[in-house]
Order: sequence, then C-alpha cells, then structure tokens
Amino acid sequence: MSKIIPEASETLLDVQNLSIDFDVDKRKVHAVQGVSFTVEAGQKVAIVGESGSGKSTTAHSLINLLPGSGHVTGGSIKLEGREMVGESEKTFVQIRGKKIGLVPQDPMSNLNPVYKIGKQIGEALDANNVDVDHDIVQKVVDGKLEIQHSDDELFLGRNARRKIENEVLKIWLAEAKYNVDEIMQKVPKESQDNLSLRKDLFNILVAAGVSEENASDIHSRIVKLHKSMTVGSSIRIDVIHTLQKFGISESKATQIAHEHIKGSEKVDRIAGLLAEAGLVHAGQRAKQYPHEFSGGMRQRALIAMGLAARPRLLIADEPTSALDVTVQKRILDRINRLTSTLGVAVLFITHDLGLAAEYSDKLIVMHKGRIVESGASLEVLRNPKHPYTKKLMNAAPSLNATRMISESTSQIDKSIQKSFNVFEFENLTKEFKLPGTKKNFKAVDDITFAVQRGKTTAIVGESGSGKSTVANMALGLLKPTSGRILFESTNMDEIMKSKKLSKDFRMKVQPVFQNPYGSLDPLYSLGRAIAEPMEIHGVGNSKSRTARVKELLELVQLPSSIMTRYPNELSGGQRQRIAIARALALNSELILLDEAVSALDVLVQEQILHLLNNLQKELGLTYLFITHDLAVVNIVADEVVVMESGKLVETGKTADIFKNPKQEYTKNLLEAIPGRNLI
Amino acid sequence: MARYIGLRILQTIPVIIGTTFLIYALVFAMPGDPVRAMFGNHPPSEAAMAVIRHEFHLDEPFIMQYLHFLYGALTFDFGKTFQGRAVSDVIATSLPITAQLAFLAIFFEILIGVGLGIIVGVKKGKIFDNFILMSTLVIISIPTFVLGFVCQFLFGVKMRILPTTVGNYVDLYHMLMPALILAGVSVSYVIRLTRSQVRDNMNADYVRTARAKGLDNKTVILKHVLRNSLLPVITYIGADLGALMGGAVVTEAVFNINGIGHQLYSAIAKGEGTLVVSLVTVLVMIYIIANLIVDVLYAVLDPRIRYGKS
Repeated sequence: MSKIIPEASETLLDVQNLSIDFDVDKRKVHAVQGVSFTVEAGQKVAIVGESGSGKSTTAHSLINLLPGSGHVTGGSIKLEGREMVGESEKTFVQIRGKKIGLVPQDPMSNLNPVYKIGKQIGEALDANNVDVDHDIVQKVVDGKLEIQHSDDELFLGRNARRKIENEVLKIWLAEAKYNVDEIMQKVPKESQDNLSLRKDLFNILVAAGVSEENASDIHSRIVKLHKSMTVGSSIRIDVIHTLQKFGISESKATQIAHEHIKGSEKVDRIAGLLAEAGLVHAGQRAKQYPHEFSGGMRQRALIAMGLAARPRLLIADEPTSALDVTVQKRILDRINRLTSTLGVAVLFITHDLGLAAEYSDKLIVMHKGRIVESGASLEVLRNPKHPYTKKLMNAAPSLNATRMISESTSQIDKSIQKSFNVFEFENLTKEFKLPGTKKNFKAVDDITFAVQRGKTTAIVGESGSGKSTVANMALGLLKPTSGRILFESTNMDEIMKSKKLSKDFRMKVQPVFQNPYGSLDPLYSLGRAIAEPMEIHGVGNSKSRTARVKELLELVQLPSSIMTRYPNELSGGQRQRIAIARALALNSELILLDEAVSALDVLVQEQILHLLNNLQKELGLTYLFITHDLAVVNIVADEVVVMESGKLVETGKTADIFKNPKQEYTKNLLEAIPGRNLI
Repeated sequence: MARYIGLRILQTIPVIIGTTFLIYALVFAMPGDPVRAMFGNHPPSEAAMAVIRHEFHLDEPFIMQYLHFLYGALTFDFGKTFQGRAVSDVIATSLPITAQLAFLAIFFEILIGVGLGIIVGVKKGKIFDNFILMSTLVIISIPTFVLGFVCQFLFGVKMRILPTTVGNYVDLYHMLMPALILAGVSVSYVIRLTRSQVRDNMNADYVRTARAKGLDNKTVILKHVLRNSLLPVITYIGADLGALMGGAVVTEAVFNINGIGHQLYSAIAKGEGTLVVSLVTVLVMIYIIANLIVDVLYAVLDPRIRYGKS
C-alpha cells in the first residue's frame, strides 16, 4: 500500500478554528472546539477518538448535516478555497454528493427500506446531474445545467460491450487467417449479433468452419475479455488499455472504443458502481431491496452511493464498526483502492487507531472536542506524544501484541474437589431446518473441545460460523441434535430434566450479552436489576441482597449510589459493568460472554477487559468468550477455538495459535486484524 | 404479491367464522324467549309459537341454528325483521348512507389529518406546533355528541350556513357537518401520528444519507420521509374506516341519519336478535375487508412485508 503523499498538493479542504455547539436543555455543550486541519487533494486523513470526542460531529459539519441542535459557532471551513460556514442550504445541496460524498456508519439503518438498491444509487446520479443517459444533453446545450465529468466518464454500456467483443472476435478470426465474411455467413442469423455472449460459441465457430484448436482458443480469450470489461464502470480509456492487452493495436483499439462507447444507460452505470464497490452480480443485486442484503453488502451499496457522483472528498464515518473483522478488511481495502484509483481524498472517522494508521496518510487524534495530536500516520503510531494517544494505542486491541491476562490457576481452592473441565463438548452437532425446504442445515458440525476451570476459552469465528449456536447450547437454551455436553461431568440432558440440577446450573452459569442497551430492563432500577437473580433463586433477604448489590457494584467499580438510577442514564460501558455485576450476583462459576465487548469503543473495551481480568484473578472465574474479534482474543484468552461454517477449524493455546496458525482460515483471520503489520 | 393477497384472503375466513359465531352466541345467550318477545303481552297458542319456532329454526340445537344463519349470511339472506321486512333490505337502504358518511369523514381525515400532520412534522417552529397539539387535544377531549350539538347550534341555528339535521336529504351539503364531527377525533389522532412519524423519519439515518447524496429538501421529504411516515398512518386510517362505519351510532343519532348505526341502535333497543346479529355481521365484514385492503396496500408500500419478512 502506498503511503506517498503527492508532492504537488492542492489544498482541498481547509478547516480553521472550527467550533460546534449543541443546545441540550438550554445548556450549551461544546462538542468541537478550535479544530484546525487540512486535507490535500487525494490525501487520506483519519480522525481518531472515542465516542463523544467530536470526530463525527466535525465530519458532519463539513456537509452541514449536524444532527439536532448542532451548529457551527465559529471558525472556517474552506472547500477548494471557498468559505462554507454560513452558506445557505442550497449551496450545500450542490456540494453534497458532488464534491463531498458520505459513507455512513451503520449499514442497517442508512438505506431506505422501501426502495430498491439500484433506485437509491440512481438518485445519487440524478441529484448531481451525472450524465449517464445523455438524456439531459439538451438541457446543457440550453445552458440550464452544468455537467460534471462529461468527457472522461463515457462509460461502457451493455450493448457497446457486446459490439466491441464481436469486433474483436472478427479481428482474431482474421489473424488466424480465416475469411471472416465467409465464416460470419455460416453463423446462424440469430446469434450473429450476440456471438460473444453465446455459451456455445465454440460449437458455432466449429460449425462455421473454424478448426477446433482455434475455436477453443478464441472462445477462452473472449471469455477473458468479457470479464475484464465492467458494464457501467469501465470508461473509454480503460477499454482501450484492455483491448491493447488482448493484442489489439493502439490505433485499432482507439477506433473501436470511440465508435462504440458513447456512455452507458443508467441501469448499467448503477450496476457498474455496485461492481466497483465489490458487489458480485451487481446487475441483479441492484433490483433487490435492502432487507435482502447482508450488512457487508449494504455497506458496499453505501460506498457505491457515496462515490456515485465522483466527489473530490469521501467522508467514511466508521464505515465498518458494525461489521465482522474479515468483512471489515475487505470493505476498507475496497474503499482504499477505489479512492486511490479515482484520486478521491478520504476523511476516515474511526475509534481504532490501528485501522486509522493502516488506511491513512495523516492521523488526527481528537479528545473532548479538541485535536490533541496530529501528523503522518506512521510517525504518530511509532512516536505518540500526547498521553491520550498513548492511551488509545494501548487500548487498541489490534496494536496490542502482548497478552494482558496471565494464566492464573493458583487462585482456585484445591481443597474443593471439582472437575478440571467446567464444560466438555463432545461431537456436538446442531441442525436447523431451512425455512421453505426439507433440507437440514448444520449450524454446528461435530465439535469437540473443553472449557477448563479458571481459564478463558474463546470461540472465534465470523457471523454464521455457529459460535452463538454453541453458546446457546452451552446455556441449555438449545438442544444438540447429536453429541453431548458435560457440565462438571454431568450430562446436560440430565441437568435440564431435573428441576434441582437445572436450577443449580442456572446459578453457576451466567451470560453477558453483546448489546448492553437491550439486556437491561429499562423499567428496573439498576439495583433491582442486579438483585433479580438473587430474588429468583431465593438467596438471602432484601437487606442482605442490598448489601450484596453494593458489594457487587464495588467489584465492577461503580459507585453504590448508582443503585437507584435507571439504565437510560448510563453509558454503554457502565451498562456492561451492570450486566457483569448481575452475572456475578449468584457467585457464579462460569460467565459466558457473548460478544460482550464488541459494541464498545476501544477505551471502554479495554476497561471492561481489565475488569474481567481482575475478577477472574480474584474469584477464580471461568470465562467462555464468544467473539469475532481475534485481536481481543489475543489479550484475554488462554485457549482458542476457531470455528468456520459450523466446523471446528483449529484449537489450542492462544500463544501457539497466534504465533503458528496451522490452518489457512486462521491465517486469514489473523491477517484481517488491522494494523498488525505496522509495528 | 398475488400469493400474498391470496393468503391474506384465506386468513379472513376463520376470522369471519369466529366473530360471527361469537356474536351469534352472545345474542342468543340473552335471557328470554325471542318468539314470546315478538308478541308482547298477547302470546298466541303454543302450536302457533311452535310453527314460528320451526320457521326460525329455534327448535334446533344452537350449533344448527348458527349453521343455518351462516348459510343464510353467505347467500345474503339474513332472514326477516319482526315487522316482516327482509333484513337484507334494511341493510341495503341503510348501508349506503353510512358508507357515504364514513367515506366523507375519511376524506377529511386524510386531507386535514395527513396534510396538517406533515406540515407540523416538517416545520420546526414551536408556536405553530404547540397550537396544533393543543387544539387536537381539545377535540379529542370533547365527547362527540357535545361537539355535535355545539356545532348544530353554532353553524345551523345561529349562523344558518349548514343544515342542522340530515333526515331524508342524503347529499354532500347535508352530510358535511356530520362527517366533520365524525372525523373530528380521528383527525386529531391522524395529525399527531403523522407528525410524530414525520419527525422521527426526518432524523432517520437513511434520510441523512439521502441528503448526503445531494438530494434537495423537497425530494428528501416527498420521496424518503413521506412514504415511510405514512405506513402506520394508513394502518390507522384503514382500521378507522371500519370503526367509523360501526361507530357512527352517536353521530347518526345527533344528526338524524338513517344509517346502519341508527338501525343497530333501535334493533338493540327493541331486542331484535336477528337484526342485531345481521347488522353486526355486516359491520364485522366491512371491518375485515377494510383491514384486508390496508394489509395489501401496506405490502405494496413496504417490500419487507411483501416478501414475508419482518
């Protein structure tokens, strides 16, 4: 990846002393204070900070889309030398999409559910007068419209591609010393026009008198040529280069390209944009609705949208924080490559310093609305000056090569005779019926591993790998199709059958879930939420329970005054602490952490991981850690179980797996950790 | 799409059977002998009563009576009233009147309710917003008959710009005031619902994305905010059509309109079981059909429902 900043740089964006306020209950909150930075044309700049640092606010102010009561109170934003602060909404409508594109944060909520993907991308083309159909040429002639990029962006249309391929086919036939006219006469009339698209091209050519050897050669070359030209995305010059690569002379290639490529239809252009963003079968995908897309696919659609009108600057606002690591890497690579090719500058907003460093030339670190440090990415990373930057670095799991949690088994009281393994999974398999069919789908396929007492075992995998299904079976919420689970050497089937045993099991095993907002009842005070497990299991009286709640709050480092407050008054990290306290209320032995830190930003994540670490040391807890984030696994887990599409790929000690991954899949997962190769 | 509509129509069958059964059971569980009640203080001979009982299938077990009724209802033969008038005839004369009233009310609901709701939702001004919210609250709080009498007095008696009652003059001019009164409460709810929906959607992520694409304010509101905001409003209005048809009892009484509500009221007062069951059955069917239309419309507007996903 090139990290070269272009020498002859032109300042695209110049932000000076920018201040932004929000009015909250008649009180002013200074979200951004005196922020100054520049973005050169084609440069990649990252703003890093925790949530609430003002990084997104800064980005949104550039296109005048501040949420709620946010407003710029001072400073200047110059785009291509033009002052934007104080400009009318009308001016910003002109800027948005055309000069500055946006790839928003959450792909699930950023597409309108009622319109097809293609239509939503088409809107971006229409709104910015991007000339795709040439149907607005007249308006331009009349001087009513100004077109962006009219010369260099004549896109290859579907018909143009077909015609070009047919011409090339004829050239190749001529080169192979055939009489082209003679052969074409022998080709059936109905396939003469779409010869290059026919699957039976080989047969047709042979029937027309071409030797088998030549026919098969031409057929395979045509297929390759077809794949090298993307409808709606390849422009004239690309096609000329492609044709040259396939042995057509420059003059001939130029002639063919100029004759046929006169701009693509809007449908083709939309498909081309989606293909650019890395979506396969883009033409068909464009006809689908957002709910038929996965998160990663939606994010690609949003990238296509952001770049549709070829802006000069792309704001990528945490474009991957809602996605799996492997998908994250693919998406960021795609944004990076695309913007580099197009010469689009990128303003990348993220909380992960590792990601920022890997995908940007320049880093800006923000804290509480101010810039605390900025400079060339690698420079900042290797030589952080501000304590906050150092803190961010330590917190970024991707940059953390050392294990935080030491193996500690000595705390366990040896006098109590307990099984060494808390959980043993033997040949565990779970099948689900696919809706609408009679087929069975193996979510978990013949998995065997054990969870050792007092240690942290992590199950890692992408979404769909079956890791959460394993978690649900471990909690006794799902019954395995075959195989068995032993909890402290007792079969789970027996435990679930017996009222006493299952009650006992529920006391010993407690879950903490991913979403701290969804897992606390908003109508329960926090004290009541923590005390609820004790009430259910009839532990103690109300007085002793209150005492225990205070003790638990102390354990998770929250003030006991928080007891009477409600979940909505807390931050995500604080809520997760409450959820942990609740899981500990019954002196549980094993805590199942299902993506428990995935929704938190790096600093909070680090705090929670430390808390978990200390609790493990103090109480000798066993953790079963379910996550997609290998970087986190590296710093908390003793044992790792890697899963892919229901199967167990690899298992072993964390250090071994990280140093010496045996399977290709594990290697890929490790590769996907951002910033891993930077230090 | 066709599959979806077919499925929804199939779903209405058990609903129709279930509701009519319930109504039938409730009415016939009422104490007293309907045949005796028919003749008041001068009952005919036992033999004559037995003939009448047989004619109305009253001598058969309850379930058989219900099946006779269901069969009749399917062929639009609801039997006769105590006066000997065919029930289907009563329905045929009163239903169009009520339908006219209800559709006029729905028209106002959409025009005023959705229109004002959008304006209040889009505008940021506090004063206008508060004014609309306050006035809708006032309208919601006043009972329909009070509002009806006040309007009759004000516009009919004092100002003399609108007729006070309808009676036999079933036309737009005479229906105007009752329709407005009938729509009053619903309009208020529709304004509030539309307003909050528009407000929510104005702040939705995908609306911000639409703006970030470079769409102007008008396009953003018309294409992205409205379509999504109106989904729940359509559900409300559709369900309300059913409610207005059946719930016009008070309005029809105040303005002397011979609609279905009026007929139902007098049938209950007279204890005419057959008529009550028939009228209620018709209302239930209207309610079900209105809901079916809403569901189909909803599926047209929201692709997620069309494809059977939530």
